[in-house]
Amino acid sequence: MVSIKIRMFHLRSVNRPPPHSPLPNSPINRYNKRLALTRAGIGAAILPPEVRKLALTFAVRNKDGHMGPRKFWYKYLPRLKYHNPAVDMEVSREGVSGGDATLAIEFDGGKTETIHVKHKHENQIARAVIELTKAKPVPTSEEDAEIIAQYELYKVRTEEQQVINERRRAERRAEKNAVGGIGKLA
Amino acid sequence: MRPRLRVPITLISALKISPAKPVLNFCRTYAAGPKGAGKKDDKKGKKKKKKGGGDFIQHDLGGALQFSLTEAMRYIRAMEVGRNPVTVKYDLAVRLRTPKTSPIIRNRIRLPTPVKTDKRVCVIAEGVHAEAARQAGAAIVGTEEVFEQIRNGKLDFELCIAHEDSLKALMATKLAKVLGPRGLMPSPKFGTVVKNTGAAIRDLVGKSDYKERMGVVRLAIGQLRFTEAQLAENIKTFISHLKKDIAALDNVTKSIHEVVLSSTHSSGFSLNGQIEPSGARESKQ
Repeated sequence: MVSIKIRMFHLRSVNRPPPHSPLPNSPINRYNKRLALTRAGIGAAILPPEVRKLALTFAVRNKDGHMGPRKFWYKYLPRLKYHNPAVDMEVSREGVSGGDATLAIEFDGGKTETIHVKHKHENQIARAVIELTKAKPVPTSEEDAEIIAQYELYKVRTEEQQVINERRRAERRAEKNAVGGIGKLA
Repeated sequence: MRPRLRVPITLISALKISPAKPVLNFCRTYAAGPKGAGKKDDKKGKKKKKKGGGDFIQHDLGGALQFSLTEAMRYIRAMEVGRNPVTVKYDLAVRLRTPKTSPIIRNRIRLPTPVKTDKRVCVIAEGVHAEAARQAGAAIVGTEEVFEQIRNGKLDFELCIAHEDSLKALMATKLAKVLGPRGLMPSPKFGTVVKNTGAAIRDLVGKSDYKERMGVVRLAIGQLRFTEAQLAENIKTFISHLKKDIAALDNVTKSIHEVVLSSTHSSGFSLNGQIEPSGARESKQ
């Protein structure tokens, strides 16, 4: 079982990861699983009671405008689901590549509205859903806001560090080539 | 930047191992024998010291976030949004307070709402018993032809049962090497060597196995489509079953330390033993 320190960091988010944890270098999407990020942010909204179901359809491959819908699925759909547990949410990725990408919203009485989400950014899609259904955004609590701010800071820092690391690596490579490689000692 | 100075690895390890002050290092010389501490002997001594008994580490749950079942399920459903509700499984991990060297728990359980009902069963039997197995819904039945299949690497089943009379033939084939590591080798200890094949299939299909590994028992406890009540019933049954297993062991003290619910793609949620956020206690601890 994963150590409790790491698991709690995973859920709770503290300033610094526990020492020797595998988290600092892990892909950012792992941080999406933090509870505060599931609760709050873009897409945290309560849908009106007449909404029955959301059905998102897009292809497996990103190309030809299918990246937006995919990101909408893994970034914002969990938040919508968290705040609307009773609403059915389906994702189908039948086509391998290309084709149509749609988001069908089913209301009470069989009325269905469709948003075409091909070539749209995930934020655009989230905005369209909230506008179309007249969903009420959930206000972010103070603690959650703090954690989200920390997360944003973390992202910026990682990017900066990545640039620095890349530069150092390039320097080292150049130096190594100039010397002609480090041979074996002794 | 200067190129870093590199010391050959052998030299570093030699530096580490050889005692800095032999006078202070009295114990080691004593342990290694009167001839003095050679390099090799030192290494061996260190390795032996590392092996230890004792208990598995128990983390303090004081500051831990714990969830009621409904809360945990709400988060898990949000994290699993848009996935197939049948293939995604809830997974329960139970951490035990237990010594490292102790008999482990291993058993089968029939959950109130089974997670998987369509197990493919392989039966090694002949004649009447083979016919009975076929009628009970076994996928693969036979002796020689089945051995041949397994030898060719075709293991298209999740449970293997052998009839008493055919067990000798199975032993002679030395297929235990193939089946054993996969947990498929029939053995009287686990109730997979039987007299009545038909009844055994009816009994074993729909049961799930669990086993203690490194002080943790894991089990697929439900599908994503299950309701709160169904999952609660499954967890309750499993925990009480596990407690009975613990009570049946001799001379060992084991107890439940932590129960964690997770799923195929979600984080793990430590359960606090309640179903509703502030409801009645579940029979967990």
